[in-house]
Amino acid sequence: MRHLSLYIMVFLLARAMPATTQSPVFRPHQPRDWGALRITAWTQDGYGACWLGTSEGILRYDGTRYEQFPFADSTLLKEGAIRSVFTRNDTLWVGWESGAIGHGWIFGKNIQRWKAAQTMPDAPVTAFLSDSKGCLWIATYGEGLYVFDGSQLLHWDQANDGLSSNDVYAMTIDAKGRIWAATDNGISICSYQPADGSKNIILLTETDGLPDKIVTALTPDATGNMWVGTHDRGVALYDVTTGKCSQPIDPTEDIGPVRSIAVYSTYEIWIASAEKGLLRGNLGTKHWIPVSNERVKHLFTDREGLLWLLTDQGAMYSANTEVLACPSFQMPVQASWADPLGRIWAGTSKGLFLFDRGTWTPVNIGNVNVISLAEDAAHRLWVGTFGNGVIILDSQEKTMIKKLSLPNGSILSMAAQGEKMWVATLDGTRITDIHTFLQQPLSAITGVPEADKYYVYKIFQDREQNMWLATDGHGLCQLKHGAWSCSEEGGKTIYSIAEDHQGTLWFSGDQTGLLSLKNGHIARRTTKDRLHSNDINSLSVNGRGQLIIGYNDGIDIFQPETGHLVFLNEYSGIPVQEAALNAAATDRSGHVWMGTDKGLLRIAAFSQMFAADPALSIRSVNQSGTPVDWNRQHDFAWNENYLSIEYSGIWHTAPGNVQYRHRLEGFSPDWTLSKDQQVAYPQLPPGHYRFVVQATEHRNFDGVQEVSWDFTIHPPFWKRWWFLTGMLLLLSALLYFGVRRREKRIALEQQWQNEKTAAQLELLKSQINPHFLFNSFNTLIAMIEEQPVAAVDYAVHLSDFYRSITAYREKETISWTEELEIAQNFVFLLQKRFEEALHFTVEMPPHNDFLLIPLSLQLLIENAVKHNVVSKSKPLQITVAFGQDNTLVVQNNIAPKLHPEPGTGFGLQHLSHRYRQLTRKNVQYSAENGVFVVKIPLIRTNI
Amino acid sequence: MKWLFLFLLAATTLRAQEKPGNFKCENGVIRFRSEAPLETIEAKSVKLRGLVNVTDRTFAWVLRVNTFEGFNSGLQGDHFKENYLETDRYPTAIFQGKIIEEADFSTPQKITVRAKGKLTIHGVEQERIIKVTLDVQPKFISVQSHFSVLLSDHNINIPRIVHQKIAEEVQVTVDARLIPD
Repeated sequence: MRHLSLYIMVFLLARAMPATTQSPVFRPHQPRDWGALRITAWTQDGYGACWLGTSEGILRYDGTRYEQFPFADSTLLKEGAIRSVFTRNDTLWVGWESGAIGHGWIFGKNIQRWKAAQTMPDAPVTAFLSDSKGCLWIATYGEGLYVFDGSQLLHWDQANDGLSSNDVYAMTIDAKGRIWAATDNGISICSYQPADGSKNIILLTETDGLPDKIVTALTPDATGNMWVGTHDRGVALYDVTTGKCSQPIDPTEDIGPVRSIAVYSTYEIWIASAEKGLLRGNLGTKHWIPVSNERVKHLFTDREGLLWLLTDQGAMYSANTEVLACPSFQMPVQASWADPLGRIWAGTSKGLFLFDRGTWTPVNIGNVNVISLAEDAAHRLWVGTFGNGVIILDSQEKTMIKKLSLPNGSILSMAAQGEKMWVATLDGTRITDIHTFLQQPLSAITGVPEADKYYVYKIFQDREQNMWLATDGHGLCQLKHGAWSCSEEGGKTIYSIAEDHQGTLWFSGDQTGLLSLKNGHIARRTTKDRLHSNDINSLSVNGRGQLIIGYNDGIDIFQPETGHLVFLNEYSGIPVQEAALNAAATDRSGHVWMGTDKGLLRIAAFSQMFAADPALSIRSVNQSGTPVDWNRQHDFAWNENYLSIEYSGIWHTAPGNVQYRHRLEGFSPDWTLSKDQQVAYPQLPPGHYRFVVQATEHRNFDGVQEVSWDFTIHPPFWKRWWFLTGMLLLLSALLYFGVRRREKRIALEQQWQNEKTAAQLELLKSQINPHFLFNSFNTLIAMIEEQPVAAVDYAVHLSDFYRSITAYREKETISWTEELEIAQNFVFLLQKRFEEALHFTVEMPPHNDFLLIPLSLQLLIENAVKHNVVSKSKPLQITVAFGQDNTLVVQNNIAPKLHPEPGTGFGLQHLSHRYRQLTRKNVQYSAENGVFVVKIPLIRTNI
Repeated sequence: MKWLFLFLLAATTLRAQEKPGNFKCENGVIRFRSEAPLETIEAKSVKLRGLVNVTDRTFAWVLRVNTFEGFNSGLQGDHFKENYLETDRYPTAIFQGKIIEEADFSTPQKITVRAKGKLTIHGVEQERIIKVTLDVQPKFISVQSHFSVLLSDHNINIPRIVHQKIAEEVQVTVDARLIPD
């Protein structure tokens, strides 16, 4: 960094050294954290940002911040110095001295090696260009040109294609879309037809009017004509339409080899010379004016018209070439005059000075205090002094013709009107004839009330030859058709008057702001209308009809047609100087020369050719911290509602002056003023939005460019119509099915209850079957006599059996042990009756883990007895066993009765039904091979 | 040594082509002059060697830098050669390239041409175009040229304290006579 500051000092000294030249303020640009970084290549993208090829890689520069763009391919780091950078369609191209080429998306931060063909350039890449057909042109120093049409990389060289030389110094494009290449053997004008691959080269050399065959620089002007910089013969202008070459600036002035040219339309050009440093060529006076001895390698003009310089040492500067000052001439200037020869006269308290060809010289009229200047129709310069009357000079010879003594020798203002000269003294305004002033005294003007008592600060002649006076007391006075009329509508005291190209008269007084008079109507603009200040020191109109307003601390450039105001001060890179009262003059090129407390500022008339507002773009959009491809994505989910938007308004002239205002339509209609380049919207509710941002550098957002981005945050799915409808349907369906199920269950329970009741009734009926009871009592009666003890036993069993029935019939299930006990009681009772004719075998031990419906087995035994013959000859065999799948298998041999007992048949069917309800399994029964088998599904309790 | 080798290589290439029109010089005079605010330093060598082919207009010139003599004192000369030009590391200066103008070497005349090539001093190569006046005579071609060398172009670092004594830009004059090879 010490090295850098030293270097800047050297540079500033160098700038001051040539001593007599007008120069802009050179603003150094050095990334702070990069030490002795060398900048070797420059370009500007479509968004206004600068791309720098440096010794540390690629940097993006927006006027305030440097951002590094890393190489995705690390081998590019070893390629050495970067020679050229270029952007097109958001793609950055980088060319190295080694011949390597890299490219990358300008938002992507990754630059990759470009390999479009087998053989890639192997010589320094001096320039890139894009033509109207979308082809990329690459100029090399050693291998001629390459053109890439999207698929093929074509080589153009001297041997095969007739290129003037393979060493291409510079490349540019003309209005017809042809590529111009500057070489040692003149210029090659190349055109390429991608459709048929045809190459065409036109050679321009000394025989075509070029002053030198070695062409080292090419820059087109606004009309499409080409400025040609040569090695030994200065600069030429090639007219593309006529094919004629001219040298508008004196070719005898040696400027050394031209390295680079920057063109300001028809006003001036700047060149970087390999031997003479930086020079400015005035196309009006046709002379070169040295600006700096510093060796400059490249010159560029940006969209704002700023001049960018890269020096041999790798430093970068920008300069606002619109406003130039002369560091060597720093006296307060009180009056200025631009004569028809393009020379500038400056009146100071220490005499009169002449600025010609970049040099200031004092004019020998003695040490007088010059406060006003005017030129008459005979090209004599009238010098108004403070206290010494008027001195009249031959402006060519710079010799004094006559000194006019006046009653009051202080001359505030003068103006010529045809053959007359108007002179405003502190003792009233006088008129004289420019031919007879030697013989006749000046006559006082008549018609202005009390004219002699008021000062006139400015005498002004409009384009219709009417005379106007800015008076201190009567306001603005006008002489029309021989009569004076004064208006104090704009104030009693008026200082300055100017007229624009539309015929509007502009004037200002004491703290009045800017007043205008058009068709008799007076309008006022003040700081409320974004004027920098209401305290105006000077008003003048430049060659483009812009009003130049001088203040104590800067300049406003006002465009009368659009109302656009651009304020320039030290932050815009112009010298800090205080405008003097009415000391501004407009030269024949249309530039304004404004007298200030530190000399003269030249305010060029070319500002209108360049962009007037910051280049505005949206840089990035982040959703909760993650980048969004905002060009494509416009829809977000309900919870993707934390959006931050980064935008940039790039205005290199005065980066610190850029102000933004933005709003989110759909959220709030109000603009938010901001200096930040970012805004965050947390917790946005669902909706459609449009983000709009505007940028200005002069506090006025009227008519500035705006950039917008539309997006939608969708409501959550549970708030969307389809979800809500779906949910409603689902709920209704659920409700419907729920009700249906409940109804079904109630019906089922009802049925179950009914069946249970029916079963109990049936059971009761069967148990109190009169036959069984009758048989049992008969058996008991028979036993009482023969076997009284056994009869008691029998009665006990009978009683037990009925008690069991009564006890268990209410239960849903009973254990196998309990069921077996009931069955054995029942069988005991039957066996007393049938004795040997009934065999009952149980092959399944009592078990409490198996459950069954009460009295199932009893029912089966009873059925078997009821339907079969039970006799000694045909004994009834009933077997109970444990079967597969936890079933109770009850089987008996079939011996049907001749007269079957009438039965309801309800028993078995009903039993089966109940088991199905309880276990979802059926009671299976079959009659095969004389055996009736019933399988009852048992219920396991321990599972 | 590397540069000398390169020169010999270049010279042999020129010779090997067996083209007519080779001219050479063994004892050209080269002077340099550094005009600084406090001191003017001048030195001279008569050992400039050159080879020019007038058919294809290529050339190569070479100078052993420590053949410079003169200076204001012998000590200054040693200091200059050792510290600034580092003749131990970079013993030779070379200018090699091609003449841009298609000059006619067959008729005696005085012409000015531009020689474009790579100028290597202090091991640093610079692309230069140097104006040369040629006096074409039947038996010889006399070569005269005046150009300047920016020390910073060739990474020749002069301590700031010495800036008052050594100019940043050194003037070089060449006077040589080429005879047919």
